[in-house]
Amino acid sequence: MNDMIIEVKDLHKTFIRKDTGTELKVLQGISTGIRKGEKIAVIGPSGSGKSTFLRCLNRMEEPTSGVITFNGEDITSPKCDINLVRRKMCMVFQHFHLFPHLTVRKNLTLAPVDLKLMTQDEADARAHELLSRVGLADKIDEWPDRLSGGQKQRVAIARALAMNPDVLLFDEPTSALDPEMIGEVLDVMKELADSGMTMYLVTHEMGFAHQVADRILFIDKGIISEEGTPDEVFDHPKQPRTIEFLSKVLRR
Amino acid sequence: MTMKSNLSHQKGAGRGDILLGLVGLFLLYLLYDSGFFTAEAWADFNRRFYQNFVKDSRYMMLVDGLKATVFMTSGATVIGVIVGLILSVIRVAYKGGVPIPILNKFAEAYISVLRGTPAMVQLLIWNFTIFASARDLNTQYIAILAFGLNSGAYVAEIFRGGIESIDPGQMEAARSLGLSYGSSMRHVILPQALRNVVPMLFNEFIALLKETSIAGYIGIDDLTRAGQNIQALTLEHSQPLVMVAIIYLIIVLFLTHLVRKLENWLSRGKRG
Amino acid sequence: MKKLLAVTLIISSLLIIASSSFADESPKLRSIDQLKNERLAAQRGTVGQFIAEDMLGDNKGRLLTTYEKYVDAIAALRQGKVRAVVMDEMPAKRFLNDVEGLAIMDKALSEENYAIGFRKGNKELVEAVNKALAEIKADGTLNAIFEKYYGTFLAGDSSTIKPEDIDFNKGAKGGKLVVGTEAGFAPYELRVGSGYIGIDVEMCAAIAKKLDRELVIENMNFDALPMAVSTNKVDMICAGITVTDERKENMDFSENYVVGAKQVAVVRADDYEK
Repeated sequence: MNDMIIEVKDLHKTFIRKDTGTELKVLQGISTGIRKGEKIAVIGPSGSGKSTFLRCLNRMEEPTSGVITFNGEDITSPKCDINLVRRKMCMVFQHFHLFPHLTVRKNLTLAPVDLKLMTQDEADARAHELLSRVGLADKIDEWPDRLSGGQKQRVAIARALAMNPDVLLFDEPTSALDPEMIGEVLDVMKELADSGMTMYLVTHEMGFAHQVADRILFIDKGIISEEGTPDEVFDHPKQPRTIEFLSKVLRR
Repeated sequence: MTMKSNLSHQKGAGRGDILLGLVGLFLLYLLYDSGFFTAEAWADFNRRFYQNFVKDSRYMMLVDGLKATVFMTSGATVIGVIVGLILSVIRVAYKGGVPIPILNKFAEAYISVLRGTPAMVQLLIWNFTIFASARDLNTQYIAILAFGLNSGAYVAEIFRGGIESIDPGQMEAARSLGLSYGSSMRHVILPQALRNVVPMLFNEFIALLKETSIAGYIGIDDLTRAGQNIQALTLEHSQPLVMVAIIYLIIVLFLTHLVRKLENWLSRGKRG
Repeated sequence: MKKLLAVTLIISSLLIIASSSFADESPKLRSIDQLKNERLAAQRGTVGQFIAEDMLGDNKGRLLTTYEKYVDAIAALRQGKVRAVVMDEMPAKRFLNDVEGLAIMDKALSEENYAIGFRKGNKELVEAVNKALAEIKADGTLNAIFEKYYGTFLAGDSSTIKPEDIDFNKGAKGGKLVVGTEAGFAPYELRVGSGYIGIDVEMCAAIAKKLDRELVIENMNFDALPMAVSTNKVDMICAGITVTDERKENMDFSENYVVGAKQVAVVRADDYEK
């Protein structure tokens, strides 16, 4: 198991509502991991905890308990500088969250330059290269508000790539897009997957998950209730909850 | 909370209207003051105008007063922005999970005390109590401090509103790239918040400009006080004050015009 | 344009209201006893205010208006808002010179003495100033100052006196002598351009010279002066300040430098019958 990039052991996350004090147990013991170059799609009903699981990996959400290691380092320990981890484990959001006050170029170069990983010139060159890769080289000096949803998400992916991450975390990257724009984003992700990027993908795009993922995690009520290759999970699901979920989703 | 200013919605009051308004105002005053254009009254008006502003270069008193007003306003503006920025970041950071409860309590107390007491009272306390024995300190600096710290409390609330109006996803996106909380604030949140609050900030500074007119109370010959000094000199009541009012108005209209330009410049790239 | 029109209308109506005088139909004033039931004005914190309060008794809340500046009080008189302004005779005379339609009622309301005010207990400075005051009284300096202002200034020619001609004893070894005043009280103190002139100013300059100190003038509102001297913001206050028992409780005074300054009632000439 030495080629594991991320390992998760018994991850719990409990939200406490501030006003009423009631507890909401979103993750109830998740243990899993991802190998270098592996693509894992996380599926499940809404509210099942799949996004929370992803957000715990880079500690966008603080885990309540459990251990997450990244390249062998325990990132849940107080000694860990999470900012260093996040440089190598970048996230792509459902709503893109491009920085609207910066041009596309600056969106890509802000972090690498501010963190002194590159000079502005190096970062500019890298930005151009990455934008070409997602097919948006001509938009380098454009303002984000002038881009379509699909273009924005492709820029957001390029922004994450600008950090040269070891892992990319996709949090429902196509859910906020108009249907005609989903394809262009999936194409970029497919190309990334083919190039060997390690990816966690929370998605509702079952077809894409089937096509790209090495492994499928089905999360339900805060636990991984079923796990396996796309063929196993999609074509021969064992758990009744998986069968029910897939029948609902695929019927649409 | 809506962050749009009233200013940005006032349409159509361009340079022409401003000029027209000014000319109209002054004409109206002339009309009133000269007893509707009898030759005698006109001559009297001219004589008094000469007495008030021209003789012995008395207009220089207004010029010096204006300098003091502008100096105090700009100084207080700088302090106000810095203090306001610090206070608002403290409060937002505390809310966002940075463990600074004491600083946060201080910021809250500061804001409620300085917003809860009249600027006039604060000015007097600064001058006659806190800096009672600091006699070699230029009184204008005390005024700048008093007005600046007072303004800071208002600016803090403006900034806080501006920061909180930014989508939390912006902070997440910046943090997810490995940027620290401070860097994310500085490069991502504050520039956007600033853009949102520029009109409100300008309104605050326009208010501040007018508020400095109480500085005469602690012995500063600002624009208002300069008008009063001319009054005492010539024993003329209306002309010096109306002139002072017109000068204030011109500055305020100019600043209003400026903020509109600034807004347009800031919103480049927005609204395609 | 509508907004502009509205603003214009509002302003013009305000101006018209302001310009219309509220002429009283009551009989003209003949003696100061009549003032007991009339609307009066005074500068805030001055002896004029105290005298007016005494005259009006229980009605002072209703009838007395105090203003920050003399000019405002006189304006109120001319507009008919008040029937008389209670003030010191010398500044009143200057108003009569420069402003038409005013009169001073014959009989004075009271006679007062002026002195320089100090922080309570500042014996050292009081004694030094008293000594200097005695010297400039003895050698005629003080008299010359009074003559200068009575002669030219009150006759209406104010521009012959230049602030830059007054020697503030700059760079004196003894340090600064900070004097608080309210420079809207000619002929005692007046702001001219970026400097000051007036009897008090020149007298303080002469005193500063005797003390080997540099004169620094702090110009503030009259009612802020006691606060300024008691908090040590200024060394002394000199602004035609009348010595009263009440004031003596809160500050120390020098020897009088003006004796028998009259408090008079300034009225509209057309409202006064001798």
